[in-house]
Amino acid sequence: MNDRASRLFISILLLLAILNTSLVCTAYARGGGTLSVTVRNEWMSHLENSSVYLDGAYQGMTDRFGHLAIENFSAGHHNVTVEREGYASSSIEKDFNSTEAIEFKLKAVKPENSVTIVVLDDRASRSAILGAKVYVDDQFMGVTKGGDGSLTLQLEPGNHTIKVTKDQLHDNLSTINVVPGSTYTILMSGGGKKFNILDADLFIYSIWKEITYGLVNTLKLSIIAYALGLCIGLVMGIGRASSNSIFRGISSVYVEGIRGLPLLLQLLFVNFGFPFMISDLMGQQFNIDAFTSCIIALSVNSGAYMGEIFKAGIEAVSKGQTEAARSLGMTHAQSMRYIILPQAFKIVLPALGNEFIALIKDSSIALVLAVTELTMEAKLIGVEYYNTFTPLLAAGIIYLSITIPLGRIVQYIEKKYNVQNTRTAAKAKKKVKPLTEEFI
Amino acid sequence: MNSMVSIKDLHKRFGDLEVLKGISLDIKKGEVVVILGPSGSGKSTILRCINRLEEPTSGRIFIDGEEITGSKVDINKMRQRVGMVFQQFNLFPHMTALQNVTLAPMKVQKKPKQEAEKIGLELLKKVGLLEKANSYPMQLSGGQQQRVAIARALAMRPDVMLFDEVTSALDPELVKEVLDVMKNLAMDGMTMIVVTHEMNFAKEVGDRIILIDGGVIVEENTPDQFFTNPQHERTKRFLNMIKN
Repeated sequence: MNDRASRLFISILLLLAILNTSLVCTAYARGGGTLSVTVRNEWMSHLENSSVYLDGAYQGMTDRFGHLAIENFSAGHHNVTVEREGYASSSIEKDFNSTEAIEFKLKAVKPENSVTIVVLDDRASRSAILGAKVYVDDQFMGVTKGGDGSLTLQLEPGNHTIKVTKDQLHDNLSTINVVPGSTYTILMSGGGKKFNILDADLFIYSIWKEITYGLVNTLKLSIIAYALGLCIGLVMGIGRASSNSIFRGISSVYVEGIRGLPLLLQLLFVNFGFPFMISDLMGQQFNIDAFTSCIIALSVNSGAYMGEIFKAGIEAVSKGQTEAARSLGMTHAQSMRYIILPQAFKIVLPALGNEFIALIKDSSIALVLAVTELTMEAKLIGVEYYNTFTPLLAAGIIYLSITIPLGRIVQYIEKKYNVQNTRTAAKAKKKVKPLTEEFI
Repeated sequence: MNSMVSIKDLHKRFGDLEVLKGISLDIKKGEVVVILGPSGSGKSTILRCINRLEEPTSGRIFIDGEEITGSKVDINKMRQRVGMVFQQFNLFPHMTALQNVTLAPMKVQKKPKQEAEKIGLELLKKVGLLEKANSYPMQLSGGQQQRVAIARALAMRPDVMLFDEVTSALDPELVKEVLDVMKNLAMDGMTMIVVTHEMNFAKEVGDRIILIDGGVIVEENTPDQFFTNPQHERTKRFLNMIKN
């Protein structure tokens, strides 16, 4: 029964792994044209709301990651132009492949007499405040926007009264002797409504948004990476326990190497280092998108840990089992498949469960590539609502509501196997006496 | 050549320790040879070399005239002709008694499931465990497990059966049931090499008794002569020691 259940479990995971790899592959192979445009500033920050033009035709604005995908893109000679307020527009004209990713780096231009106003929270967090209305000499000039709560204005040099208002915050009125080309930071303090650390509305909103946007990706990342990691781990575990020195050497280097490196470094290598190396060698642009990078890094990483788990499981099966199998004329592969692995798998099941829990937590590292998984979503909500506590608290609660029950299930499996073993052993002992009498 | 197993000048060393220092032995078809000796004398190593669970350092071994030592031999094919029963039973714990017995015939000899099960049930009946066919090893006593292990080895229809201290790990009251099965097997004409500490079994069932000490054969004799009229001083000391 258990054996069958575990076999089913493994086959489902394998299926998932195959399905996903093929999905990723087909997405790449379709070729039916997507031009991926990424816009950054000189400091490599993503630029939101940049207008993208393809051969003079407006295509849309970049999202908050400075990204816009132009679908149904066909290969050929094209001109792509990007414009954004406050920056010099930039264009690329060349022969494009049907699927390509290009990146623009826009240079900020400061028109004469331009002044930048940045509105920040006066609390220690100094979060940017978006949507604050800015009045100069009682004239409405605009609303702060962008990730940094800034607004760029055209002002004559000299004294100006600048008023900044926003609902629920105290107005800030200040007189500034404006010098062109400068940036002025204005702080706003909490107004009529004090910010509660725990904002109930925001908490509910955070839970809802983090589950619907973040958690889905977190689970996607961890389940796919787990399935792939399981395959890698199984091969590496067999390799580590193998008597073939080449196979054992390769898997030892893999396992020891990966386990000795920080996961973050591996992720950065997959997303930046490796594509750079390939681009350099092939002489053409090569990219791995953020989500795929996370899948690769996480599965390679957990594969190493699972390899060690499988190795321990294989070694925990007594040597007599192999000898019995081999003495019956089974090959090494047969004894592995029918005798050793089924027993090893049962032994390592709890450890594999714990590895999945670890993977769910580790997947939060996708944040550094701006993949909107649970932690990233929490951070984004925090920036959006200048409350960096409540969304993170909500994220923590969501993580716990998954990891704690999973941990319980692992404990249950662990206990069940132990109880089952001791119970049947006790039963066997009881039966000893009457049977021997029968035979004597 | 009419010997079933023929061992010629077998040496085995583990690092600096030479366990077997030139063993030569011929065993006829249907013969039951009992190997006695103090612990560490290399008795089990002989059996494990015959099955090539240990690689002999030098020397040659023939089964029914066919050489099984050397690198060109298909070791898996050859092992099918030699059944082995272990001290620790080594049943496969995740399989029922019947599955334990039928696995190798199905996977190694590629027999259809029905045929393998027919053979399996027959063998379980032979060792008196037909009603335990669907029990898992955990649910069986040590003696029952060992009998299943014998049935499992027999399922490959071996020419020779090797018994490596098969009753040593059993409670005293369970020893008899296993020895009875082995007696029946001997009466059926199976060629057997038995390493044991059961002197009564050796006396009763053995055709020939061999005493090994320090990696060499000290005495080789019929049971009668061995126990009543030993030729060597070492044998006398050995018999004295087990008497006390």
